[in-house]
Amino acid sequence: MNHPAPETWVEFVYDELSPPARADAKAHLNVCPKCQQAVKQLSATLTLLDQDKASLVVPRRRASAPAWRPVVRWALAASVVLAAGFLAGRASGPSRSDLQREVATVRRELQTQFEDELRAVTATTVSAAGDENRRLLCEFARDLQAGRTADRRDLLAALDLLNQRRALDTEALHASLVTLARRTGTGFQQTGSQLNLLASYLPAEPVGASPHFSTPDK
Amino acid sequence: MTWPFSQTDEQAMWRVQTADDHAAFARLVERWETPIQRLCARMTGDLHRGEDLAQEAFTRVFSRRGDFEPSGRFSTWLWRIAINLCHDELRKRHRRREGSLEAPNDDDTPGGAETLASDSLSPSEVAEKLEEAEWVRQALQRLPETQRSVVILRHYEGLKFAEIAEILGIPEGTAKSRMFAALERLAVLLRHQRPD
Repeated sequence: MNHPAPETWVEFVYDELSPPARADAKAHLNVCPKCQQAVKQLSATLTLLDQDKASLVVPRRRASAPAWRPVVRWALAASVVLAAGFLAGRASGPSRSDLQREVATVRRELQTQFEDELRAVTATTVSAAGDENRRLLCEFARDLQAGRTADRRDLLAALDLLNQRRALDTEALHASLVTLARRTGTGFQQTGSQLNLLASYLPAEPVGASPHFSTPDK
Repeated sequence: MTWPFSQTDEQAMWRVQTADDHAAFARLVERWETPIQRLCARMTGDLHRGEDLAQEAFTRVFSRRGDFEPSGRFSTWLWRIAINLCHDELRKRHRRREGSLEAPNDDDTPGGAETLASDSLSPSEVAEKLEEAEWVRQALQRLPETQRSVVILRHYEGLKFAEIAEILGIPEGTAKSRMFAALERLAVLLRHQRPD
């Protein structure tokens, strides 16, 4: 009979086999007393291990250690790794509790110093930022005003030029019209004189004929 | 910077790596302190030494924060650091030939183990349970370290064999076969230790 590998029974007791693999393992157990015994022993051992699992808890703080919160203690250990080494080298054979007290004192001093410096830097930065903002606003307002004045000046100059050009154009147009009118009048007069001259050359028409122009006396 | 929602271990470790964020580091410690202490206590058989080793593990996490690969799992990295520290401790102990299975008593609790008394059990039942637990603890110390670490990570800390294999740097099949061998050995040890 082929038996599954030992690892299979470990997965079986921890219920980590896939459904098909578990079905195969169960089918084998039904017909194999040796594997049944092996699985039974595994399960019994795991049950015994659970006794230790249920009973072991994280120990209370030892009486000699300071009663710090775990978070503070671990963060302190991380942040003063180098400082702890320095203090350990400086002091000759300090006890663990002395070292921890020194580290706590150094940490408190560093914390206070850091907060004071942070406040001072923040105040200076905010004040400087405010002054700079005010200066920039004044400059902007001045620039804006100067810009508006220049724009007005340019606009008026452009309007004046436009008016001048319009006046010149009007004058030129007037002169042209007058010239045209004169030429036109002269033309009409000449045309009338020519027509009269022509009419004088025509034979006399009987009475009732079309009117004619005045003829010169004979 | 405070996170409005629960921060993953990898997010917290990223903050520790890039900004030396002590608050993020403290959150990691708070989350993992107890499991790592349990691991170290069971590996060494010494509850108080386990506490010290756990502290060393977190100190090492902080000092080697640059070594953490952001693409990996923080838990795997932390377990590996703690296991390696335990192996180092046991090697030193073997060299010193301490071989002690009992932690020095700093308090009044017998056997150096601090336990919670159960309200539902009688004193004699509690004593019997404590005794059984102590047998198991002693048997665990008699396992080879390679088997002990697999048993602790799988049975006590609930890790899957795939992650255990990654932590220990072994194939998954090897982790399972070590577990089987450890359970067989424990069965023999407990049979001999417990009185009939």
